[in-house]
Amino acid sequence: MISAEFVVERDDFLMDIKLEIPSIGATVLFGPSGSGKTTFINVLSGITKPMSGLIKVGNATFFDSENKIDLPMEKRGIGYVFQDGRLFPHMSVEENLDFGRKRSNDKTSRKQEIIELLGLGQLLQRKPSTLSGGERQRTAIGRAILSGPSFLFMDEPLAALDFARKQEILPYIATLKKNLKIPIIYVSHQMEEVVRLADHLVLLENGKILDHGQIFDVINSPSLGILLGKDDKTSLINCHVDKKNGKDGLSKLLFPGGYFLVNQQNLVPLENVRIELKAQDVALALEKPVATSIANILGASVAKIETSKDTNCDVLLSVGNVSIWARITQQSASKLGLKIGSQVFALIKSAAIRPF
Amino acid sequence: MFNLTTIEIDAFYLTLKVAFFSVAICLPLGVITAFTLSRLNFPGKWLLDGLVHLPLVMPPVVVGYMLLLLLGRRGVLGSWLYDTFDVTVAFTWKGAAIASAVMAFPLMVRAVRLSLDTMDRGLEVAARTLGASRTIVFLSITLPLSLPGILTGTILAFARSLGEFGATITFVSNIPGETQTIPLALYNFTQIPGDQTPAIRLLTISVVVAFAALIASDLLARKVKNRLGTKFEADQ
Repeated sequence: MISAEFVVERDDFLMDIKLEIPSIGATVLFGPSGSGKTTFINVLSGITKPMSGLIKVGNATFFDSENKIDLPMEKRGIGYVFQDGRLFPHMSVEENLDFGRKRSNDKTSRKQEIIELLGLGQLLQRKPSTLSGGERQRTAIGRAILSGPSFLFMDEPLAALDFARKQEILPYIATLKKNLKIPIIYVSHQMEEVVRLADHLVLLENGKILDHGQIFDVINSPSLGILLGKDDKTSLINCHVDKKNGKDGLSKLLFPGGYFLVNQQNLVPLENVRIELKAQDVALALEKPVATSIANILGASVAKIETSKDTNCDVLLSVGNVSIWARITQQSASKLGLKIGSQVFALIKSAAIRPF
Repeated sequence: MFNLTTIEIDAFYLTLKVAFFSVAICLPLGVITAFTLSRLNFPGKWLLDGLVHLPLVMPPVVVGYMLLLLLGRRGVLGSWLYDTFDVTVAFTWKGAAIASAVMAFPLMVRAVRLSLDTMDRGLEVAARTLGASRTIVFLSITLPLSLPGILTGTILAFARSLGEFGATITFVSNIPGETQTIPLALYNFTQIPGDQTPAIRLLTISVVVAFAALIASDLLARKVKNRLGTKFEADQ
């Protein structure tokens, strides 16, 4: 666990932070450009020195202004993947990978595993200047992991890449997260990366933490709505791809409470995926429709009804253990006579479900 | 025409020897000074910067005279060197090397510093996050990446030493076989009326040595560029 409490000066504002970050899974720092995300991980990794504070990672004290402790960055054991990769241009890919590995305590294992995981096998003898943007970033990730860090920091590692390259690298990072069990702090201002990777979410704006916590809670935080300039709710649901495809080429995604049928062929059976479901894509019915084009009809009970300023309201549904938001008009809500505990059916078109 | 006299052969070897030792003094000190000026902040940095550049803007004769006052047999440092180590630099080839080194020093420092200033400092930070200490970062990242600047500085310093005249003649005089380098010998010949052949021979030697140095530096620069992987930059 990281426990950080510090004040750091920036050109435009003073950043006053108090936060604890679990050492399990991926924590995404999300916020607009200039909100202090990079400053935050730079302070933790020792690149930027705070004015005052106390920073502890596990049992180690990284920084303690009261006792004049400021652990040099090479002793902090943090793997840092920079936005621009920062591969050493005079070394081959393999020499880059070995640079941190030579100095880590864990020299033996892993190298082959990481090379395979990141698809670097063909690149080992190449110089960084001959690599594509995606290959460079994969090398940078491998280099950071092979230094045997207790935490992996990633500062918008995909920001410098075009859309196709992003799609190429995101799966690698997701696999990494699953296979390596190194806690990750990931800086991003892309919702797609948040939805796909985050287990915990920290929202930052102008050097202040607006909200933080489990992704499933924070994803619908009003602060996030303000940051994104929208007020619609989203449901994130962890699913498991069924071992065989459903009928008619639809994939079957199991979750505790039922399954979704989605129109996506490239899902790997038995993989875990997370789906994003926007509230306005969920409709409600009191009786199970018989003749309908809608592929997903789930029995649910109403857990909460939130009325918003306009003519809509958001209904929180419990489907098994899973929560799903539905946005309907207030008129529809009163027509259906919805109240807490009502038994309803949630109707979701398979095209509205986005698996990651 | 090309039967060299003893004076000319001595001058040729002496010039190379003086230039070689001048660079040998300049190189390590220049890299350290450039690194200090580029990477460290300390009070009085402007003073060091100014001192380094003085020989570039002062008349060489003035530099030579200052060296004489400082390192001459009765000079502040010179008398101490003589008493303690029994070493005399004034009016010897060692003094000529020192005079050349002082004159070439700002060129060396400027070239290396330019390289250090334009280097991506982020690479050094990245190396430290990978567990490398400051010393290791300097040796494995900073130094190799500033090789082009170090190379340029070395060539400039070498060339400057080959041609050094004013500071040398003032500090160590014009003694054949001891301090009479090619420019000094050439100067001597031009002062004597009559046959110009020896002067032209020395001129030719000067041109050949200068060209050889340029070609060698070009070959080295290519090698360094390849090693740094910049050869492919155009493909990006």
